[in-house]
Amino acid sequence: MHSARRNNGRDELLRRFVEASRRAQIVTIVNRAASESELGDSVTAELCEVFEAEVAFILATSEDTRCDLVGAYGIHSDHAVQLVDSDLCRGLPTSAAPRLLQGEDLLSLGIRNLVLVPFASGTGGVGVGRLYDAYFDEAEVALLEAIVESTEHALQRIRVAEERDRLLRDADDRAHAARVLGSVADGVVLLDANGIVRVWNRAAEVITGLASDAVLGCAADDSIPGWRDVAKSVVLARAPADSGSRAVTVPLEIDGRELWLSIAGVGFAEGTVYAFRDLTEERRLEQLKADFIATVSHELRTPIAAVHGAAKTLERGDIVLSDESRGHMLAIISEQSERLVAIVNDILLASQVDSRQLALTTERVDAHDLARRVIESAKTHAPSGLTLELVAAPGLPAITADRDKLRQVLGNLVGNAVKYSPDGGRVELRLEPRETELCITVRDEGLGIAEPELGRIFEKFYRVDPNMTRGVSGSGLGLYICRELVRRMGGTVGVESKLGSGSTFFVLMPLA
Amino acid sequence: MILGATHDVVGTRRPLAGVGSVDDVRDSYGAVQESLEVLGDEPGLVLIFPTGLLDPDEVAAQAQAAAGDAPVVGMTGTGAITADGAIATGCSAIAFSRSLHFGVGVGEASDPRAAGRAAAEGALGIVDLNAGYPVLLLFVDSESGDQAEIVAGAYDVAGGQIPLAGGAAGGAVRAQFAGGRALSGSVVAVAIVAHAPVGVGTAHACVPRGVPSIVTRASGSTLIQLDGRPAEDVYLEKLGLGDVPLSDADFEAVAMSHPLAEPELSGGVRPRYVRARAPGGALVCATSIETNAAVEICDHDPGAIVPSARAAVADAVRQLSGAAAHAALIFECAARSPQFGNRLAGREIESIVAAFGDPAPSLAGVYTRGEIARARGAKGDRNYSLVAVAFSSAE
Repeated sequence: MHSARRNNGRDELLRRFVEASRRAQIVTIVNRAASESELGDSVTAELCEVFEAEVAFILATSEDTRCDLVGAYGIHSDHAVQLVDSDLCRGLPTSAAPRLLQGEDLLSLGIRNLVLVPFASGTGGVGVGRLYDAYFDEAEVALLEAIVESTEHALQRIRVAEERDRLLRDADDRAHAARVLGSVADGVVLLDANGIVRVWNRAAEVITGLASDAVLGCAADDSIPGWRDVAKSVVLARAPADSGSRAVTVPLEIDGRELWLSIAGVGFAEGTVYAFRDLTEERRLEQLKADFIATVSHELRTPIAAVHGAAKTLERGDIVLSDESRGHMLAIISEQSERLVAIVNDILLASQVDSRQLALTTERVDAHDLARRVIESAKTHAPSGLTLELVAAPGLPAITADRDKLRQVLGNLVGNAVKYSPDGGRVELRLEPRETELCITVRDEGLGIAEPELGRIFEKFYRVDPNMTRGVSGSGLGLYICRELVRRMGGTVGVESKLGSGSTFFVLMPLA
Repeated sequence: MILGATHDVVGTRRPLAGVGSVDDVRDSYGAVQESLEVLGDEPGLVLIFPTGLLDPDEVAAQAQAAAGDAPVVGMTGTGAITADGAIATGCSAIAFSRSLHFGVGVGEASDPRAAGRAAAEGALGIVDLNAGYPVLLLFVDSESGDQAEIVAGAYDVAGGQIPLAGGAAGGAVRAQFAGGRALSGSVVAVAIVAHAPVGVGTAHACVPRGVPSIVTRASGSTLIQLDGRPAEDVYLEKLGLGDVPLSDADFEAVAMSHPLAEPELSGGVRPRYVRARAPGGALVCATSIETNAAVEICDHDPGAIVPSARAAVADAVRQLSGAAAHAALIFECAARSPQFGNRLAGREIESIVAAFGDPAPSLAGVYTRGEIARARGAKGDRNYSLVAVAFSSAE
């Protein structure tokens, strides 16, 4: 009844109109599709609607030229597998014209009639199938061919767009990875299978001081000093979570600078990636700790032994000490106790400086008066054969400093000058005004300092003569404390020296 | 009360189904009990079609109490259909012999396609499809999403070899029934595997008028423009109502008898119910229509109702391979026969029964708000249609 109007003779014009609108409908759907799956789902559903078909599917070749199902409607998933593997679909890319198939053989796909229209490019095609006995007529096939043409174009458009999106995503991923690599604190180096550096991140540059320009594209063995030995030390993991691999700590010397790196590596098919972190500071702290223990134990043991020996001697009842001897013993105890107190004070002060708990009180200070007091104090302990001299022009401007701390600094520098002048000579404390600061120099004619050690003498626990071959003792904290106190008072401290020709320490303090 | 029975196997005279109904009584128990009495055997499945004026929970409880262990499935309608006529308030029921195989599934997903798929999987997953002739009945809620999507979901599972039939619940209080419960917004699927062919036929009484229009702008089920102009203007002009001021109620009354329709290549049309108009001159349809689709404005022709009913039944019976229909289900759009008890409705049902032939099958049906019929092709959502399901027996 529903077709009563047209049963008396189909209105060909109306049919063509309907065909045109159906085609336009599908083109609308085709052009709207943003992905292969959306295209496959929507177009096949619409094909079933348009052709009153039970089944519709779109096949397209993938990179390996095998036909894959882009979309299907009305096909059970089991049937879809059969369809893709069937002879008719395998032959689809080489077909040139629509094929009409009928028969019970198609029942495995749930249909009896099938029209198969290949893409003009030979890269797939579209099938529409009916279960009931109604063959596809020429007009239907022509309409389907037109729809397939649009579908093929849409598929190509989507594939180009998806490829473009994939490339953009890859580029974005790479950029993201680069940003991540650039921001991680660990150095990351990627070597390809030939040992050429392909990735050298910002942290790697900072840690090693080797710019990426000097490393990227070059063999690691050639561009990274000592790399060959480093690589030998690393046991490569086969996967990021490989428990069989451990980071190793290895030294690396670059431009005379010794680095200690904790480094681990993961090997993969295309090469090896290494991650390393700079343990130089940790190593230095470890060394400092060792130095501290060695220094403190030595420095404390010596006066303690002296005190202990003197005390034990005084305790003895079996010997009679003269007043002079008793006085000497007591003097030893007193001096060594003072030495112990000084060492402990240095340690406490260094600790306060490190923890930034040291409070300074800056004020206008008459540097000349302060220097004079330091020299006078030093003179009381100065050995014979050594002269102490203050050189200062009259009318020096005042400086800004913590009076007690600056006195401690100058006392330390003058004390060192005395201590490291075992053969006597002249120690000069000189004050010279400059534009915005006062230059205080302490010059001696003593042992001097070897040039390689000049950069380290202000380090904590560093001692020029750790074995005291010249009989000079010390905690290794004095110059460190000097530097830190001067820094906190807004000044700078430095040294010029030559081994065997004495040393000149200078302190620059801001004028008030 | 209407009693009737058909028989499955002549030798044993075992009935294929028994029907019962109640009229003007809120008593689904009675309808089911009568169908069982007529069946004269333990039922394998009971379908109920109460009018949507009854309390669904009470309906479900009564029907299940009467059916015993047999599953009770169904949905409400704006009216119920029996072989003796339409029922405005009451219930029709049909009890199927347990010699058939049944499976019931419920889909409750918010995505209509997923709900259709789930219901179909539930129903088809527990029957042996090779045991005979399967059909999948779908009872859906007219307000729970695009009916075409529900059918598409069920079709994903059923494929082209299992016909689909059913409709959307109607009535003031809409409900589907399954598992002894009244459901809302759900999809209930019933798989029936019969021993003899099952036919699903459909027809409508919509006649296109004038020349088709093109949907130049659409969004889902909302037609924004026809022929480049506001859809409502074009629609009303083609009906000769361009200058007539219409209230919303007037418009809906006009739309009820003037659906849009999508012309098919086969020459037929697929009616699309216009539910309402929207601000800006858009038309809200019952299902989505794609941009660039051709649509025709139809008259729902009262003179074509009876012939179309006969055509739908003939279509279903034709699929029985020459066997007689021994049981039948009718799902009829409520808009086809809005006046229950009037002469047209009576004549239509008489013609339906007559079209099935003699002996008359056990028949039950319901007036729906959207129909489902898929016997060929992949699409099965219908409007303004009568869907006839004919069950033959293994004689």
